[in-house]
Order: sequence, then structure tokens, then C-alpha cells
Amino acid sequence: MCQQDGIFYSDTKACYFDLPFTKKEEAISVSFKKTYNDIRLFWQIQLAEPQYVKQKTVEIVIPSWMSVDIIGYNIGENIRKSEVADTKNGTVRHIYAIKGQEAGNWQKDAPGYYKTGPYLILVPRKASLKKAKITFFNDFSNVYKWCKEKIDMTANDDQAIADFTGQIVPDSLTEEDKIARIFSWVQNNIRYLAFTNGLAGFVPDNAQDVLRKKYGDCKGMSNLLKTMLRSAGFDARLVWVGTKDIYSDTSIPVPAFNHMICALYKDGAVIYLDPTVKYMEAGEYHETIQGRPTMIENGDSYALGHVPQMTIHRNMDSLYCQYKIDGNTLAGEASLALSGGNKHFLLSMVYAQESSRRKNTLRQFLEKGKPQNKVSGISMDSVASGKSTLYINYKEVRDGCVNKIGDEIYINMDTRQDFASAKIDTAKRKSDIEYAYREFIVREEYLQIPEGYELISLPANIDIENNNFWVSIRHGTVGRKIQYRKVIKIENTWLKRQDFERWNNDIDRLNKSYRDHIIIRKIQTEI
Amino acid sequence: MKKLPAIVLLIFLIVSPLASYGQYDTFEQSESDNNYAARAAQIRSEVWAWDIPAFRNYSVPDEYADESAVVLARHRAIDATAKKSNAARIFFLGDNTGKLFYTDIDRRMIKINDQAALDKFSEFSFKEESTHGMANLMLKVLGVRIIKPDGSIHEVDVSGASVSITEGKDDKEVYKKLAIPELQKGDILDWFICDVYELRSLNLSDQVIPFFTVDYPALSYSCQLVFGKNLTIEYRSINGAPVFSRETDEEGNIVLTAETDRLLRINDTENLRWISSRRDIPMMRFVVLQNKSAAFFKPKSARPIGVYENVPYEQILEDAKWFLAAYNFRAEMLKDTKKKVLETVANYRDACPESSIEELANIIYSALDFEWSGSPSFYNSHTFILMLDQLFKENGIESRIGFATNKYDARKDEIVTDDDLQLIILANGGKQLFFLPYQYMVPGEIPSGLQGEPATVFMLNKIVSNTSGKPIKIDTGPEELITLPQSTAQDNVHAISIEASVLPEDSGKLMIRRHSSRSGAFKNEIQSSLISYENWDTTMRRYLHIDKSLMDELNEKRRTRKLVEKVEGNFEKAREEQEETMRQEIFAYHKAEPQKMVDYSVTSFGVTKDQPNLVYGITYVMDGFVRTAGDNLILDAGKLIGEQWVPTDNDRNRSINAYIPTPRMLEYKVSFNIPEGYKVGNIDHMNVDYSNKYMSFTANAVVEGNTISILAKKSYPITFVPKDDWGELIEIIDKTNRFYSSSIVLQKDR
Repeated sequence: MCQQDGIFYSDTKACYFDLPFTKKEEAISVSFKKTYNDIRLFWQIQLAEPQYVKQKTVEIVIPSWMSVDIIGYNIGENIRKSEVADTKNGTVRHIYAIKGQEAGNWQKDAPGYYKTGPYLILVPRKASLKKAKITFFNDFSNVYKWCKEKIDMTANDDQAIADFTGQIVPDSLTEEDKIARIFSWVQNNIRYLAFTNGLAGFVPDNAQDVLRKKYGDCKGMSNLLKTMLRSAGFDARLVWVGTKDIYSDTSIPVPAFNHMICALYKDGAVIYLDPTVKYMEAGEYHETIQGRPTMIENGDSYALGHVPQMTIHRNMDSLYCQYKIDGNTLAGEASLALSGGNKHFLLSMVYAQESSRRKNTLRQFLEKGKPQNKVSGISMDSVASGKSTLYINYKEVRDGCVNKIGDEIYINMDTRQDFASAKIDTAKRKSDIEYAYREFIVREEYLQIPEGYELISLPANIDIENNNFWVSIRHGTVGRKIQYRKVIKIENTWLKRQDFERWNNDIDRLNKSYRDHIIIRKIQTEI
Repeated sequence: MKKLPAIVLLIFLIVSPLASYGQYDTFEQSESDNNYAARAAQIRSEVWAWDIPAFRNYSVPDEYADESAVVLARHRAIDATAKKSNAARIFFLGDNTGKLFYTDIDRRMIKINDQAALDKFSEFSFKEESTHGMANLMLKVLGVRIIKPDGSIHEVDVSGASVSITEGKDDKEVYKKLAIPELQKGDILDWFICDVYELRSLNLSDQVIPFFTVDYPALSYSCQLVFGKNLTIEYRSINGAPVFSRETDEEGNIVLTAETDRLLRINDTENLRWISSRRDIPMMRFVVLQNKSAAFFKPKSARPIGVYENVPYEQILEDAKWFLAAYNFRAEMLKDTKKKVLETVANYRDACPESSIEELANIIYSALDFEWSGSPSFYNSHTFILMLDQLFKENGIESRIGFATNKYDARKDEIVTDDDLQLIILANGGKQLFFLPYQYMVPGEIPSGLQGEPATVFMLNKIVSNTSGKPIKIDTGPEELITLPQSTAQDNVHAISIEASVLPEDSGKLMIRRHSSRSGAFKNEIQSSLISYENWDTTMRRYLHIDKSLMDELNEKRRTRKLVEKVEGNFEKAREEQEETMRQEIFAYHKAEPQKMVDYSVTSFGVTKDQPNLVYGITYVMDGFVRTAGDNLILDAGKLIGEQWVPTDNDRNRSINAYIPTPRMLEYKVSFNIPEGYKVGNIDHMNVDYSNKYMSFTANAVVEGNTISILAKKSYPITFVPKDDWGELIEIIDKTNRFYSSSIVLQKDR
């Protein structure tokens, strides 16, 4: 049995063995056989390995009575395809000869294999046997039917769910409030527990069982949410979706789904709801499913769609500060606004802590672990506020960013220095990098120029723009205040290896800007 | 009925006890499962019926309303009897074996207040049945019930709700997992673990009843220990743990009970540094010994059956001597090892005929350490000390064996077993001390835990054993109680010398040449990752005057020749990894990756008496140490002393004493080359002198020509910091962190 991180139970079995290499360049030969009892579960073949492959052959033998499409993706020039018909046996051998294949993307933060690695998708269309004809996945309706058969095995107790739902959503609530309350209830009262066991890997747990147990996997939680919403009079359906790590193309009829969510049809629009993700309101989506194609339950038919791609402005990390110089420190008040992935990240981190440690965790986050920063007087919105933006207000004193020499004071305003450590060690990094989510970072900071001082110089403004990164840093004055404004946008989270050098040069430029200081000087009074 | 012949009956009598235990393995799966389920249900019903008032009180005092979770009640029930009936023993193991049965039930009732606590307590993993060693069975029963805010009690069907995690072709169960259904924030989780042991070849050598609580407040803690009259029980309450009341029940068993509602609370124990739990944390320690059984070796000094509180040090010391003597026959068997050591010593004597008796002792110790590595597992601490004692004496070196306490273990007058004592050797009239090899300890170095600790030493004259190797007489000289020397800060120094200069092509980057010399306890932090086996082997051979290399030796014999290629491959891999280790050293020093590592070298590995310090140098480029203000440069000079410890809130609010391993000192000598065309704008603020009883940090910064020189020193002169004085140490730590944040302005000449 193969236990995987983050999965409570999986019936996946792994056969493993040690290879007793004793010296360099030794060769060991291993052979094994793996049998799929249902060809519908055998629809993908990865061609790369975790190690560099000098030579490898993948041979797919298809009997003439089977109709199977083989579609290659990310097939480089190092992979040669050929077909050999064997009339005697009535088969066709599809041969993929691979030479010099680089190791697949298995480093930390690498994009999913299917974005870069070579692979084959097998579409088992149909089989014509002597006594019967079997249709597998001739078109998408077959895929839907195969999936729908599984969810139809669920036996929800609609009345029990309706009775319970009535307790948490009184009729007096508006429709929007009812939806928000039901969604929030499932998010916050049902523990997510990944569970894969035979058919249970495809069949949602009964809604009443999830409600009783107070835990469920994505299918069970979505089925409960759907059933609760339907009992409150809404048109809710189950949705199959593949997260961004897996292959997904609804033009090819294969069941490339690894996640289930819920869809709410309301006022002619579809709102997707993922109850497994906490701290995201209705209409907000985790980065892993944004833009991903969906298959929505629709009776005997089905509907295809996409989870909306949120604009980067919905992944905001915006800091507003007002500082004054106090001795050798910058002291002031700050307000941090977080939304989307940033809000989700912080709240997940803080609420994973025990109550007594949350404040400390939040303070450490705001101080960025630097002993020279002291944060106090923190106030944060309640998680239950239901607002899409989380506001945190606090006071801070920052040491080490003010230097006084004679009549001059040198000040470094940006002590957060986002992306300062983001340079890539190109000697070690072999894979592309995919950042967790798209970002929109704003730092707007004001410094009161002390009485008797005048501004001497400001650091240079900078602009950086490349495929992944957009940076603007501006310095200016507003009355007796110095204004520092930095905007960083990451629209494209996928940073490719060929762009590493440019990325590093841009990080160098950014760091150079971070190093530069504002200079103010005591006004010289003429005698 | 036909009468069985006598021989058949005899065989039946011999095998029947084994067969009855074998039932667990031979039962059909379903029958075994049914047995377990029925038996576990019986245990659960017995535990839920406990008449303990604390388990009926569901209210949480207001002062704990904001806690993540609150332990409302906890009870530990331990039963180590041979004849007393209880459900666990009868149902699991039968009542007729005559072996030691040990049942340990730990029941807790916890109010779940937040998501973190819910996540922590909502899943369990457990193994229903396992075996240890020869015929030592362990069975585990989990009982769980949920008490809802309305007072209703929902018992969890543990068997039905659990899943089996299996392994292998036959899907053999490895353990079970349980996700607790129905559990929500605001509920009370009432659960217990019951471990049932049947011990045939094991004693229970060191058991602990803790009287403290981790992370959550605990309102009530009670325990009851029932010990059978056929056993030897020895126990001791330490560090303020409650005194146990003692009664005898109607079956003659001894019953110890204690309860308290004021438990020491320690948060974040995993991250708290410098804890000595056996010297600070309230607990009751006990051992359960089958001294009546002939199946176990026991010292002649062992106590007969009975229950003993606070067994004196002298008696346990006597036990320790007998346990040491019991290994004498094994030491006698290690003739090849002894022969190799003697050959090495003879070679050394030839090469260094003028060497002193002290140098000879060092060589013998190192040679034995060298031969000991990679030896079979029964080469243990006892045999090492016995053989070293023999080798010393055979080479004319006066040698005494000793037993010492360790400051991270029990105090001398609070020891409970011989395992609380560590073996040492005093040689040459007490001028030299030798300890069990630990990491890359140089002869004479004292392990940090033993420094300043008491030790009882004696001359071991003779051990007389019977034909089966069991000691029957030990002849020793008079005992002497000594105190092992305490090292000073000067013995444990990390001396760091840094030359730094701005890169001509990029004023934002610093080229840093750092030279480190680590002595004493400072070596241990990095030595094991920095030194490869090849480094150690080569250095030891040089010190011991062994001309042959490891490869020469492997090539000598046909049996080992085939290993040469593999060993060479391993050495090559280790050499490659050393570069990465040095990069990690830079990261550990600065908490930042270097832009580039230019070169590195290790000039002394610190594993031999003649080169006791670990010495290495690294050259690298760091970004982020130099900033700009117009034409001026701002050097983050404080950062050159390396990243400092930033105490967390939990560190600041420490509730227990601190035991720093050794006095220690870090010396920094920083030279920064002032770039041409710049002058130093400020430097006086880099001259600081912070000190108190527990710690000091001083720095002296001057400009000398075109160089900024900073001499800084951080010192911990005292190893024991009482919890009430902990703030004094934190005060200096905070001030040191302020120095770390200090910078120097280099003004452009105008």
C-alpha cells in the first residue's frame, strides 16, 4: 500500500525494490508487469523518468479489434515515432524511440509534469469483439456517462439534509446570505480528509454520512454542499475538474479529472464553489483550479465550462504605511490588505496555530522574522467577516534603516524588500519554476520629513518588465512627506529555464534599488 | 478413551504454553478480528466505568476560555501484577502464564476549542498487536468517545471507523488509522490508549509518569500503579512530583496513588533549547524487574521482590558494577581487536620511543577507537571500557574505572537505574580522563553533559566468572568520589577571522574570506557533516603512525578486495558532498545563500590529540551587506558576526531552567578594507560592552589606515541559568541583535 502525504487513506499499491548498485556505471536490468483490468483507467503514459534517460523505447501494441487514439504532447526531436503493422497477429505496434531524454520536472516548485514533460494520451474509443461491441470513450458523452454512473451510486437522504439546512438558513435570509452561510458552514465544519479506496475514489460519500461524520473528501464535501443548496431551493450540481498539475483538455474524451467541486446556477450564471478550500468566499477560486476546464452534471447530458481566471488584482498584497523618524528608527502605522491567494496563505498559516500562538505567528509574519522590526497593536478583521479583502492594522518600529551622519540622515524606506532573495541558483536548478499564485503587490509608504530638515536626494525610480515580472518603483514628495510607491505584478507564474538569466539580472536591479537610500539634511541657517 | 503413551503426554506439556501464545498468529483472520473486537469492547466498558469525579466535570474555568484545548482530566492506570485479574489480561493473554503482565492505560478528557486542536486530535494511528524481541507481546486498544456540548455521549466505533494500512503481497496490516467521526470544535474528546504487554524476556527498565503538561493546561491529573508481590519495583518522584501514597490491597499487591491539579506547563518543547528534563520536570520514574525469574541476569546486589522507594545511589552503583562485569566475557572474546590495537601501539612505540606515559595512553585510546568503528553491534560501551582498562594496565598505565552522572540525566542522588550512570576511565593517577567515543572526540575531551558532574571511581582488580560467563565475584579497590572538571569558555571557542572588501565591479557585493577555528564543544555542531569517513580514517592513520592506507588493507585480502571499488566510489561521492556542506555552513552563518563560493579548505579536522581544533577557511561573495545613499556607502557591519538567535515569545517566557552544554565563547576579528575614495562617517556606535553574570557581548571598532577593524566577543561563562534569571540572558541576546543590525557609513570624499 502506498501512503502519500496529505492523503488519509489510499488503496494505491506500490511495488518497490532496491537496486544493489555497487559501483559506478554498473548496469542492472529489471522487468515487471502491471495489468490494468479496465482500459478506461489507462489513458496516460509519461515518457520521461526522474533520471536522465540515455535510451528508452515505449511500444504500444493495439489489436485490430480495438480503436485507440494515441496523442503525443511535448514530444521533442529526441523522440521518434513509428508504426509497424503485424498482419499475422492483427496488431499495430506504435513505437516511441527516446534518446537523451532529460529528467522530468521533479524539483520543488516545478510546474506539473504535463506542462513540460513528454507524454502520451491514449483514448480508448471502442472495441469490436465477435459477440459484442464496446464503446469506451468515443466522445465526451461516454466520459460523462462513465463518471455519472459513479455519482449516481450515492444515496443522499434529501429530507435529513433539508431538515438540517433549515436549521442554519432561516427563510428570512436573502438568497445571497443563504448561499454564503451554507457554503461557509461546509467549509468550516467539515474536515477535509482525502480518501481513495476502489470505487470510493469515484463515488461521493452520502451527504447525510458526511454531515454525521463531519469529514469528507472533495466528492463528499461537494455532494453535501450540493444537497444542502438544493434543499434550500438552489440549482446546484457536481463538477469534475482537473487541477493545474494534471493534463486537461476537454476536446479529448478522457476522464482527466482529479477534483470535484460544486456549481451553483443562479440568475443565468454559474458560480463554482470549492468547499475544500477555507478562507475563500463564493466567487473566489484557488489558483490550482482557476481557468481549468470543467464537466458539470446535467442529468443525462452534461455541460462543459471553465473555472474563471481571477485577475491579479484579486490576489492583492497591499501595504500602506505612514512613518516618521524616531531616533535611529522608522516608526509608524501600517495597514496591510490581502486578498485571494495571499489572504488564503496567511489565514491558513495563522489558523493552523493554536489560539494562544496565533498572535505571535501573525506578528512574526509582519516582522518578516527580522529582529530589527518590532510590530505591536495588531488588529485583524474577523475571519467570519465574509469580506474578500482581509485588513490588518498595526504599529511598527523599524531599526537599522536610519543612519545619521553629521547633519545628514540616510533612510531606507522599503524594509520588506519583496523578491530580494528570489535569485535562482542556475547551477542547481534544472527545472522550470512555477510560483504558487499570481501576485499584485503594492507598497505605498510615506515619511514625514522632520522639522528643520530638507530633502537632498531620492533613489532613482526603476521599471522592470519581462515575461513574468513587472516592477515599478517611484519616489516622490507630497508636501512635507516623501512618498515611496512600489508595484510588483506577477501575471505569469511559470518561469522557464531559458528566462532564468534575465530573471536574475532583474532581481539584481531590484536589489540595487533596495540598497539605495533617501538623504535628508538639516537646513543650514545663515547667520 | 484411549490412553496416550507417556512420551506423547510429555511433548504435549512442553509445547502447550507456546501453542497457546501462538494462537495469535495461527488464528484465521476473521476469528482473530472477532476476538480482538470483543476483548477491546470489554476493556472499553471497564475504562468508561471508572469512578473518577474529574471525568464527570465538563466545565472549563473562564480563565482557560481562550486556550486551544484544555485537558479536563487525565488518569494513568498501570498494573504490573502476575496474578491480579483485570479485563485486559484475562481477555488478551489468559490468566495462567505466570509471566509479567503489564497494562498501561492513559485516559484523557480534552475540551477542543479551536481548529488547530481539532486537527491535532481528530486522527489516530495505532497498531493493535505487535511483538518485541523473543515472545514479548504488545496489544493496544484505543477507546474514543465524544461528549457534545449538550452533555450527550457518543462512543466511536473504533473498529468500524478505522482503516487498515497494509503492506506486502498479502496485504498484512501494518497499522490502523482512525479519523474520528462527529468531532467538532466545542466538543470534549474522551479517549484512552491501553497497552497490554506480556513480557517474557524483558524487564521494564525505565518508565516515567510525567507530572507536567505540554501546550495545554491540565486541570486534573491522577494515577494509580498496582504492583504485584512477585516483582521488584523501584521508584522515585523527582523535581516536585507528588509524593505517592502507598497501600496494600487484599491480594497483597502494592498500590501507589497520586493526584494533582497544579501541573507545570511547558509550551513548544520541541523548540526550547537547553532543557534537562530529569533535573527540572516533575515526574515519577520507576522500573519493574523480574528479579525472581532465573531467565534474567541480575546483579548480585539486586533487590529481592518488593516495592522500594528512593533506592540509594550506592546500591545502584553496585548494580552498575555487576552489569559491567557481566560483559567481561564478551570483552575477552574480542581478541582480534585487541591484537590490532597492540600492533598499532607497538609501531607507535617504535616510531616515538621518547613518548610519555600520557601520550601512550592517548595513543591506546585512539587506536582502540579506530579499531572499534564499524565493529559488530555487541561491541558496546561496557566492552569498550573493559578493554581500554585492560590495555592500559597491560601497557603499564595506572587505570581506574568510574561511573558518572550526566547533567542532562538524573542527579547523583536521584538515579533510578544503572543506565543513569556513564562509564569513564581515569588514568595515570587521575591526570587523564577518558570517555566513550562520541562523534570525533579527542582523547581527554570531556563530553559536555559530564563536565562538573560527580563520578565514583575505583580500581577493577579482577572479575571472576563461572563457565557460562556469568560474573560471580568482583574484586575492586577502594572507591573515590570525584568531580569531573568543568571546562571554561576558553576551552570552547569559535574564533572567526573575517577579511571583507567591496567587489570593485559591484559595490553592493562583499568578498568575504572567513577563517574559523573551533575548539571543544564548538566542533560538534559541524564536525559530523563536514568530515567524511575518508578524512577521519586518513587523519587517524597519520596520528597512529599506520603506514598502510585503507585501500592497501582492503587490497591485501581476497575477501575485501572486491570492496575497493565501492569504497572509492563512496569516498568520491563524499568529497562532492563536502562542497555542498561548506555552502550550507555559509548559509548557517549568514542565513543567506552566498552569491558565489570561491574556494574552501579544511586544514585541521580536530579529531586527534595533536590537532584538536577544527580549522577551515571559506571565501565567498555575499549580496545585501552594502547599501548606498547618494555617493556614500552603508556597510551592514553588524551582519558580519553572523546571524544571531532571535528568541520567540515562548523563549522569552521560559518556565524552566536552562542547562547550556558548556561555557563558550565566540571571538570575531573583522577587517574591512575601506574602498578608495571613501572615509568612515560613523563608528563609535559599534563600540559596545554588554555583560552580566550569564552572558557578555563586547565589540571594539576602530579605523586603522584604510581598514575598519572590529574585535567582538560573545561569551557564555556559566552553563546553568535559573529560570528566574533567564531574562538576564535574553537582555544581552537582544542587545547583541541590535549590534547585528548596526551599520557604518562610508562617505565619499568630496
